[in-house]
Amino acid sequence: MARYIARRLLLIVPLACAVVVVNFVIVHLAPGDPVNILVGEYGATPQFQAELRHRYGLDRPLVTQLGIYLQHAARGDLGYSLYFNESVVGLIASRLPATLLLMTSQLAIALGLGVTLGVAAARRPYSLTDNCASVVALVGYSMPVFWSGLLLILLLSTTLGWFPSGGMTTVRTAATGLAGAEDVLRHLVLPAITLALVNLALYVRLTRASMLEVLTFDYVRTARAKGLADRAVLVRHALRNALLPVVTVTGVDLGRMVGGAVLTETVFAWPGVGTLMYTALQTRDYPVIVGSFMLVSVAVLLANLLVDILYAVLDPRIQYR
Amino acid sequence: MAAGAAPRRGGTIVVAMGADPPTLNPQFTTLPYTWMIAMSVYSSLIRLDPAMTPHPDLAESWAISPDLRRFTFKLVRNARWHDGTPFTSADVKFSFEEIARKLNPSGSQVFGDLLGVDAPDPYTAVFRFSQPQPALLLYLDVPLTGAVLPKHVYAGTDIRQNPANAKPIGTGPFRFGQWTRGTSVTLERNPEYFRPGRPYLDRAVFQVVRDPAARDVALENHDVDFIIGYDLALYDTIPLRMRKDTRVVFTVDRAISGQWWIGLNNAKPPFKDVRVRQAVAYAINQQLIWQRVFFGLGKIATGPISQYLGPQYTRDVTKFAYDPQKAAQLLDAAGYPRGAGGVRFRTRFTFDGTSAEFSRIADLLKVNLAAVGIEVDLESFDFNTWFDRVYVKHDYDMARGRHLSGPDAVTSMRIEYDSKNSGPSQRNFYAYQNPDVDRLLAAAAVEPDPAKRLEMTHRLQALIAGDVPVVFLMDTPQPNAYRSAFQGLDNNPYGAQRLENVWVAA
Repeated sequence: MARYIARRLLLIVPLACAVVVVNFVIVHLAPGDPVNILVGEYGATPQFQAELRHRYGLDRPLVTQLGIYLQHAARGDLGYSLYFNESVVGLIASRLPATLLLMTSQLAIALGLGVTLGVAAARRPYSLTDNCASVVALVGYSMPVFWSGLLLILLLSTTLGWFPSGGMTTVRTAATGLAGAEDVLRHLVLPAITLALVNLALYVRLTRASMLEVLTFDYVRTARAKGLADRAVLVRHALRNALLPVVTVTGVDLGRMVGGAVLTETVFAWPGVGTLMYTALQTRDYPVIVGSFMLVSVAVLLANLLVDILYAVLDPRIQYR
Repeated sequence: MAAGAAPRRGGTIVVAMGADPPTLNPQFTTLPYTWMIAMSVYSSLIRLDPAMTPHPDLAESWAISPDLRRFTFKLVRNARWHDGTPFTSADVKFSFEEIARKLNPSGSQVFGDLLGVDAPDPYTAVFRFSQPQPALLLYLDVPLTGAVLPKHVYAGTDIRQNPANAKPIGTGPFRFGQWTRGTSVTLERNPEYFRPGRPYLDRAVFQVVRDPAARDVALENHDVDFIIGYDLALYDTIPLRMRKDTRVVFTVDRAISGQWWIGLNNAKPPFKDVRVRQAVAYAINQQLIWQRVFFGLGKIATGPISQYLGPQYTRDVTKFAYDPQKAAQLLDAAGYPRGAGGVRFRTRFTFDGTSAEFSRIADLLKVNLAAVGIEVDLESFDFNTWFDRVYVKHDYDMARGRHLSGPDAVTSMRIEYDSKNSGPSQRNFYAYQNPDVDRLLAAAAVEPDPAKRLEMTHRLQALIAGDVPVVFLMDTPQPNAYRSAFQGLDNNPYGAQRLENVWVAA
């Protein structure tokens, strides 16, 4: 097992390098460059633009630029944002906590509620509970977040005044300490629910389907025949095996989480990695684009490894050599 | 609340911004967010009122030589930088010689004739030019090119990478507090501001709210107090004006205002031919665009200068009112008869998805031009791709165009229509060329007699409007929306607000 993990961890290095090279080439192939944005529509003399391109090394051959980038990246230096004039590592680090908070919260809601609803639905297929769970899940999944988010704001923020409409903190008062934590929590509720609504469907349907399959197995019948309580059969015997596909999907989601959620972050003015990446794409901020893509790919690779390890824990039949 | 109530000290204003600004140094960008923050942190030699009349700021008084080549500014003696260092004429000299002239994107245009700035004593600054500068004072306010930056912070450093671009040190009414990227910029009251009793507010917070609908809701919930005109489509102001606790103010007097047009590629056929350009102008139903896209707000454009620029604008130009028959005649005369299926030629309209207005204009354009036998393929890109195709590579036939007109009409037209400014990434991307216009622009730029200059400004507009380098569509004022509890917002020509005199009712 330890050797397996070590091998997988080592594999991440060449994979991350490949991701960097591919991303680097792709973003530079996109039309336009950062100088356009820095100069703006107001225009500037050709000499001025040439000087800017030279200063950022954009006038050098792409291979040279890539070489310089890889050299620095190997030392943990992802360069400076052309748009913000700040270190890429610093920019991403400043956005990551907000993103992780939002994404873990929404995942906890979606996973907890989704698995519960899924089990309840599988217990009596095609019952009222099952149909209701499916309808709720599908409606949530079908609503685009920029719309469901605004509906939630109109109802829970504008009309009822329970939650703030956006941002991560109340900028007017800037509370700290415990009051500050409560303030963040109040701002977190709406975006977390909005995102969870979308992901809920996946977990409900997956749990339900998987449970239905497992419930037909012989060992479940044996457990029932032994006279075990319904609850114990469902949770301890069936659910544990039915969870394998759910774990896979959660794992993939975990990796994607560091990428944030562009639309939700936009609607709720949540200062996460998603909007940073989006701004970077729009402004052709090459170092930020490549840096954040690399972060996301490494996170996905790590999450996949974690899933594989969890498999072995959940299902003793799986062994790694 | 009674008008004229006494201003109150204290309180916070929260201003919504549609995006995180790239820098807080106004000499490096024309982004309105940076302007508005900079107008509170920095000062300038003079400031402009809504009628574009200069008023004292860091300069108590000024004298201009009769040939308009020497500008002598007497500076205030009690201004200090936010780090405590006294402000002197050395700062002025450094700001304009080393930063504004060399590093500002518009610097070479505005300070191209600057010989130097002299500092004979700590409180006198003298600008010397090789040519008369009739419009200089219009460019000395904080937005565009006028912010005065601290020499002791910038001298001897790499000015572009200086940390003060993100943590500005100014002489203005507010001190920089902090900038949380992607979230907010906070400014704190400067108790040692050189104007006693100002500012009234304790803090100003500029909060990033990207989604337009979320900005509206935030204003309604009082989570934000102010939405900058740059972030407000004109039609967004219709529901806002119906709210009791919200006020919408348009910059109308003589302001930098928006112009919308369709750029035509004058460098190659079919739009190389002035008759084809005029035909397109006749074929487009501006009235319909005004009603359907702008909901009757703003005014239908007539020429290269916005009607909101005051006396510099003239109505006395050739107008191209909607007339498809005339368009058809001109196209026949230009050698583009109707061919198979009634089509004269195919062309492209290149726009970007960042403006809802242009997406709608594109649809109307397609229908209008189809009626006279021109088939239009619509091409929509993200801003940077659009910019690369249109501005840099000039790979387009028709393109969306939008700019701010002013504060000086001649300077605006020079940037826009001088054939010298038609290189990659320059404003004259339509490659418009008229030697008469070029000559008159150069002459007007240095004409010292105001009456003669105004006459030249008007003649230029007539010349350019008749040539139809672009199809002028709309002139639009800049709206600002804010909670009516806030008073004392100044309506300056830039559409960005100075917060110095703003106060909030209890």
